[in-house]
Amino acid sequence: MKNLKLKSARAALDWSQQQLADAVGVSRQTVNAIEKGDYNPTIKLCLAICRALGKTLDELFWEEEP
Amino acid sequence: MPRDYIWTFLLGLLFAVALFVIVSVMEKKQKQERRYDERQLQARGRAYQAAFLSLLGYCVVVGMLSLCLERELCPVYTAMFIGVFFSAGVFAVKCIFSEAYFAVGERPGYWLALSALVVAINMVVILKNLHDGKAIIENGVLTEYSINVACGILFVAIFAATLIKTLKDRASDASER
Repeated sequence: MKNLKLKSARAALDWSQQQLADAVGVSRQTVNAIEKGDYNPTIKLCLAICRALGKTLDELFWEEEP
Repeated sequence: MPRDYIWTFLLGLLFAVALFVIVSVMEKKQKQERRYDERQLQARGRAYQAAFLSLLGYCVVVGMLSLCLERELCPVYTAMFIGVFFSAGVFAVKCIFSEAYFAVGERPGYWLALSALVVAINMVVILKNLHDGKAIIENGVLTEYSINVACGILFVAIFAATLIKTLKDRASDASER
């Protein structure tokens, strides 16, 4: 499932995938894979992304039940 | 193994070691540490698995063919090198297409140039061997001169996969911004 919350939080800061990748120390392709839902990041990477974007885990990674 | 081929082989090995040392020194000077992120490490693990299984499959196929045909398809060392190049190719291509071949922040340009250089060197050796009348296949058996062909194919595969992936990435970069 696509992570649209992450994509929109990144876009709100006007950051490119590369900028976010540099901020958390991963490759651009990894950020792309997380946004597309192709890769499930570890809690360590989730926290690093949250800190970089100034969001909480809930705001970026919590999925509401259908 | 013929004596002249041993010298060619040693020269190739020396070139590979020299290249490795030069790259390591350059990386240390630039204080660049090759690092892979968590997704890349997972992908590389899957690529190692694929390479290992490919090598097992290759060994079984070569062994069974020799057994069924009741003759050797090539000298043992030739079969060994072809197997090594084959499994290395599987690993490299799978890594490239899972975006795990290049470390974080690494540009593919250097590897493209290096692959092209290795292909060119092998082409020179292959053409020289052909010119000297050293056949790749003799009496239906692969000779040691086919090792250069296998090495060339490995680096052509790496070059082509890197190029295709780079072009694909550029297209997706434009759409993701």
